[in-house]
Amino acid sequence: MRQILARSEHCLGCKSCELACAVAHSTSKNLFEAIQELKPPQKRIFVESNGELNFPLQCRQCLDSPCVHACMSGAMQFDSNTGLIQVDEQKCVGCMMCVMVCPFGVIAEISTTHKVAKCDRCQDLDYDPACVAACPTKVLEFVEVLEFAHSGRQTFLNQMKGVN
Amino acid sequence: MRYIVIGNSAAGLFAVEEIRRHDTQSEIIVLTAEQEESYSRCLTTYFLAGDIPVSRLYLRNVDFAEKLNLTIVYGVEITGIDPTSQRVQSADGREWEYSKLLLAMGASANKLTILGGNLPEVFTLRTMKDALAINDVLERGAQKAVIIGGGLVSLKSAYALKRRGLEVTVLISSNQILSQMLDERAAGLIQGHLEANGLRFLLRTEVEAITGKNHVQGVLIATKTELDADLVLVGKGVRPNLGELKNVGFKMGQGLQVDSSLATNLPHIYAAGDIAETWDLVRQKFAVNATWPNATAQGRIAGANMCGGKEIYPGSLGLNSVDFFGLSAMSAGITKLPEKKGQGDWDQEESLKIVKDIPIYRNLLWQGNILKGFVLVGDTSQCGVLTALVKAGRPLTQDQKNLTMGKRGTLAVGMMK
Repeated sequence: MRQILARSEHCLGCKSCELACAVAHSTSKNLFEAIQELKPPQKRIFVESNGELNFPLQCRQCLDSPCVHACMSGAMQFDSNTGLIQVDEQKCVGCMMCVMVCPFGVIAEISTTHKVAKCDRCQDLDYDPACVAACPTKVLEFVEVLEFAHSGRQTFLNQMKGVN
Repeated sequence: MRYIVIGNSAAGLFAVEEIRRHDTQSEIIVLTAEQEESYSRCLTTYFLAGDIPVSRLYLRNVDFAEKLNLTIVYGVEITGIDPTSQRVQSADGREWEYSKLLLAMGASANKLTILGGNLPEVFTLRTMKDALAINDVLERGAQKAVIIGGGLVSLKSAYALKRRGLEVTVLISSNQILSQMLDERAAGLIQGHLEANGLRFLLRTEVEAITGKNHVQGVLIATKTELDADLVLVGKGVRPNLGELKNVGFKMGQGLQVDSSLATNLPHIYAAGDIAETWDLVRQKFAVNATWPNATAQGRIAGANMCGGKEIYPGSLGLNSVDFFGLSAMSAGITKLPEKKGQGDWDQEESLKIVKDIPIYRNLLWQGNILKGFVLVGDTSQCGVLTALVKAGRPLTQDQKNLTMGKRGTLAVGMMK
C-alpha cells in the first residue's frame, strides 16, 4: 500500500501542505471560497519544527491503532475496503479519547463541530493526497515504502559518485 | 475448537473480532447478562444530555453477529465455572463447554446502602437500562437532581442533567472533584468552570439519608440540611463482577489477576476489561484500570492469544478525558505527587496561563528523568504524545524534557533525532 512519506531534510516549513490539506477538506475545494466558509475547514497535517528540523506530520495509519481502541463511539474504525483508519463523522461525539492516545498528536479537534479530524488520505479527492501535490520541494511523496527506500539509496549512491 | 466469551461490551466485542480474524472456522459463543447488542456505556451520558439518540449507543451494525458468525446468547447470568471439565453454568441451569474462555463480564456500579436508597428515583448509571430509566424520570418532568459522588460518571451525569435543564447539586465527601483523575489545581479549574455554568457543588459533604415515602423528595446531608430532589444519582465507583468466581480458584485481588498474555492462573481461561487486574505501567503493581481504551486493547490481545498468538500486553495505564461546556481536561498515569517524602526523586512541573478566558494548565510529574503522569486542562492537543512517553517509560535528556512543555508536535519531532 502506498504511504505518505517525507524527506524531512528538504522541508522548508512553508506550510503549503497545511493549506492544501485544509482546502481539500473544505466544501468548495477552492482556497478563495474556503476561507469564507461558515465552518472553516480543518487541516489534518502539521508542519512541526524544533528550530533546526522541519517535519510534516500526519496520521501514520498505525497497525496497533490506539485511536481505534480508544474510540468509545465506534466512529474511529478500519475501513475494510481501503485498509485505512477513518473517522465516521456521524458517529463521533467529540469525547477526544483518540486525541488522548494518538502517540503522534495528529488527530485534531474541529472547533466548529467539536468533532475530530485526521488525515483521510483525501478520500474526497479519490485518494490523491493534496499535501503531496502541493509540496514545492517534493518533501512529501505518496509511494510504496520499498520504493521510497530504494530512491533513498539511489540518492546516496549518486552523492557517493563524486567521492570515489 | 469452541471459544466462549462472557460479556459483550468493550473487551468482549474487540476479543471476538480479533478471534474471528485469526480463526474463521471455529464456533464462537458470546454470553451476556444484558439484553442488548454491544453498545457503548461511555455514551450513556451523551444520550442523557440529549446529544445523541439511544440508537447511536450501539457500536456495530445489526448484521454484525451474522457477518462474524457469532452465537450471542442474551440474559445469561453465569453462576459457575468448572476449569477441570471446561464448562460454564448459568443460573437457569444451562451449560456450555469451552476450549478457550474469556471472562469479560465487567464491573457493576456500587450502590448506596443508606435510608431511602431503594426509592424508585435513586439510580446508578452503568447500563443502557439505567440510562433509559433515568431518561423516563426526566421526561416525567424532574426539576432537581442531586448527584452523590464526584467521579467521572457523576460529573458527566451532572453535566448531562444540567444540559437537560435540571437544577443540579453535586455532593462530594472529599475536598475535590475527580480526585482519581486530577490534581487539586486542575480540579479547582474544572469545578469553577462548571459552577460558572450553573452547577452547584458541596465538598466535604456526607449524605445521611434520602427522604421521601414512595418517591424521592430530598437528600439529607450531614449538616442536618435537606436538599430538595426529584432524582438522585449515585456515582460511588464500580467493582468487578467477581461474585460467582470467588470459589473457582482464581488468583484475584481487586479483580482477576492476569499475566502479560492476559491469561488467568487457570488453564485456557483469559480475562480482559473492567474485571481484570493487570500490571499498571506507572504504579508498578497490579491494578484494575477500568477505562474503555484499556478494555478494548486487553480484549483484542486476549482474543489473539486465545487463538494461539503470542502477543504481549505491556500493561495498563489510568487515563481519562473529560469535556464540560467547552473546557477539556485529560490525565494519565500518576497525577499527584506521593504524599510520603523520600520515595524516590519526584518532581512536578506546573504551568498555568489564561488564554482568551480559557485556563491552560499543565502539570507534568517526573520521577528523575522519566515522565510518570500528567494533567492537562484547556489545551489537550499534546496529550497523545505525552501518553506515549508515559507508556514508554524511557528517561529523557534535559533538552527533550524542555520540549514536553512546548507546542504541539515539537516533542514528536524532537524525539526523532
